[in-house]
Amino acid sequence: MITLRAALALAFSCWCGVALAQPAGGDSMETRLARAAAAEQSFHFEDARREYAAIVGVDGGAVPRLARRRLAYLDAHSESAFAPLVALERFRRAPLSGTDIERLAAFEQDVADFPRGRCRIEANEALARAYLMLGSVDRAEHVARRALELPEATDADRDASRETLASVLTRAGRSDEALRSVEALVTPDPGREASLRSDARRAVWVPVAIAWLGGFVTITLMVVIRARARVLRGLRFSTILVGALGLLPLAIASSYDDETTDTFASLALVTFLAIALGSLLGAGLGAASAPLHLRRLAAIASAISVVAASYVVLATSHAVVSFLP
Amino acid sequence: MRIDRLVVAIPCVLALSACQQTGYKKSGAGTVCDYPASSADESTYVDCLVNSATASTTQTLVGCSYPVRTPSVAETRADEAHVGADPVPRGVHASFASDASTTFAVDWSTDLLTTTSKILFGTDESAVTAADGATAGVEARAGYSVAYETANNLGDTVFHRNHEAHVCGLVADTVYYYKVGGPGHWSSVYEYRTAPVVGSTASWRFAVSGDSRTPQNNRWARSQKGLYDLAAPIRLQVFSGDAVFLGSNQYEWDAFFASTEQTFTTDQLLASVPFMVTNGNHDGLAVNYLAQFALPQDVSPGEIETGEEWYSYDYGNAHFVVLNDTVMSTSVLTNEERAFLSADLAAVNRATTPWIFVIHHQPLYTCLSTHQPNTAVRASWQPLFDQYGVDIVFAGHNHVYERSKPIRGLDSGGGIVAASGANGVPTISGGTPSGTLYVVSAGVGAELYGVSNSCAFTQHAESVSNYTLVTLQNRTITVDVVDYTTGSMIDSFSYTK
Repeated sequence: MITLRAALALAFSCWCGVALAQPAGGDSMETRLARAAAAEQSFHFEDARREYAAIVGVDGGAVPRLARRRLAYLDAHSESAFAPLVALERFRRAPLSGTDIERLAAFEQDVADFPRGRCRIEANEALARAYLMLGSVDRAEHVARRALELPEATDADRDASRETLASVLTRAGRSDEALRSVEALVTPDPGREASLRSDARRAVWVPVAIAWLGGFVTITLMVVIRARARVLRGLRFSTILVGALGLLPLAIASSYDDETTDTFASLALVTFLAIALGSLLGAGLGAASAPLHLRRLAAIASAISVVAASYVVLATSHAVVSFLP
Repeated sequence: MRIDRLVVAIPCVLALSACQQTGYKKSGAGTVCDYPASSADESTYVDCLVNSATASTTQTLVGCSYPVRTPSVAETRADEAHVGADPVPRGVHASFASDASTTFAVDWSTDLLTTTSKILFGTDESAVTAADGATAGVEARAGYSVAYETANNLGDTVFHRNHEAHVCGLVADTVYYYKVGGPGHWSSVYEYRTAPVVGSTASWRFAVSGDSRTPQNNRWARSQKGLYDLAAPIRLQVFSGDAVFLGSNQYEWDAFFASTEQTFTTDQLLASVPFMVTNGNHDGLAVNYLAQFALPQDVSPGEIETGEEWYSYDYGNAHFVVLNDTVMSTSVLTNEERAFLSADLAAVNRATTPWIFVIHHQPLYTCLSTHQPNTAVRASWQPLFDQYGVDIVFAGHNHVYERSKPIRGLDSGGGIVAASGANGVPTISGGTPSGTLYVVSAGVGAELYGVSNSCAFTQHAESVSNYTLVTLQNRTITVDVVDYTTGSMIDSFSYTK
């Protein structure tokens, strides 16, 4: 694959040269640019830098501008005569497979010997992400924290490391720590913060809601079983109303796209079930014949259950729930 | 049962909160507004625009032979001399609406009262830079502008002015320099390279990206900077939809067109490399989407009035088909749009464009991610992909990277995995691949989703920020998928047919 890609790069570069070249005494800057790109592709960064340097003095035009960007990149990654960059680029260009954990460990050892500079910063970031991708959360966290300590890292670099660390911690189920990592960003990311805060809240409230619903279902079933005949009599009116209420979200959903329809469909189902249970509970208690305080209690419990069920659906589907925790 | 009445409002309120995920455009009818005599009259002008609506118009711009259609907006104005308080173009971006080798189009924004819509272009950068109008080596073309109702960052209703200009009669595979705006208030000078002639076998490269909406930690700008800085530049960027979270919110579009990463601004790439967009469910075919992109506009039955809902084009040795899978009625997908797809694929000249790529938003094959595969569309479209040997279908919607094994045929609605070679590439018989690859390449900004490798059709799946680079050299394709946050390659495959 590497050989094929190198051949393609060379062909691509040759094409660039032919397509862009203008008559000139020596090599045109387009030819030099093509050679530089091919040199980069084959890890000959010193050669590439030489070619770019020969172009950048020209005023204006797309080619000198690209050459200047590439030269700036190479200059910023030229530690130890490009040896770290060669190692980093070889690592970057070889896609990971699930069994590459040993390759990561070997590269991590190499990176430990990198001198101060851009390559060391970017190598640590790439390593942390790679560990995370392969599910090695502990190593990913270790590398991301180490990247944060690099003295040569800029604010932007540290932000990238904090972001990676937040992803690692989220994967580890440590959403509070992930939030702290994002809150420490030099350039705030309010969207990510809000998302993590929401995750943290949901991590608390969703189990609470599910526990409440479990209790509500249990109590309702117990009441219903004790008063079966009364339940049947009490459901004359509510059956129609409950059905209509449950179908309401589905009716609204018909105007929206699939993504939202999925949420609506789930919402319709759980609200239907919660309202139905509330009706059963009311019927089981004896409806109008039941003591007033008992009916009020049942009504409140039912309302909370509808909210809880809806909340669970919306929270787990990542819908907008701005007025609840 | 009082319980029922007590709780009736709760699911409704909760349900409506979920509606905030999508936006819909408004239509209306009214009168054409007079341009205000002075800036003090702007509020009167805006009041008029509120009740104004211009039906879709069709015009032919000077030098171009194809019709340019505008969507229904508050008003459409030809190039005029009026200049408002903030006339300097912003959010400049390029695309093409006809032959990619001889034409291109540019869109940009200004304040509402600026109605000057001009483009200056030529092959001499210094001449274009110095020019304030047509001059030796610099040509001028007049464009037009539209004003449409939208929302700002506060959610208030405002009117936005978008300008568009088309340039035709160009030389293939040539670098042009251009700037847009009007005398005294031009944009930066950008370079734009026309496509090679159709059928060219020279090597070239394009990028695939999608789902930049609600970009986290500046990822959209970072992805574009990554593409901008490539040593081997891309010639084209195809986008699989969901540029913004709410298609009707201009504030999000403005950020999309002009996000920054260090000294880089997204318009540096978007104005220089044609950006060919696909409608996503969050874009919602909002008027903002329709007004701000110039795309091929052949109107086919069932399509919206501008003809930009689905379209196709040739670039070099490849044919691209862009489809809309976010429609109000599934029957459009399976009837009118399918008919377009069928006719379009049947007409492809495989001698000049041996590669066929399809781009749409909601994936036909995706493994246990947030959104399930769109099986209705799969049943309707895949037989055509199979029949005409589409090479790769690119989609987004799930913010991940996924590549299927080669797929050909359906069995009870599921795709039949075809023969594959090393690394899951299709085997080739008589120049024909054994199956189509279905790639999800989304996540140039949006929060990543989970994804699984466990489906039988899956070759590779990662939850990772990514874009895809496709290099075509005659009949050899090389696909590299890059995590732009680290520069690491996620996936890579290549084959020759």
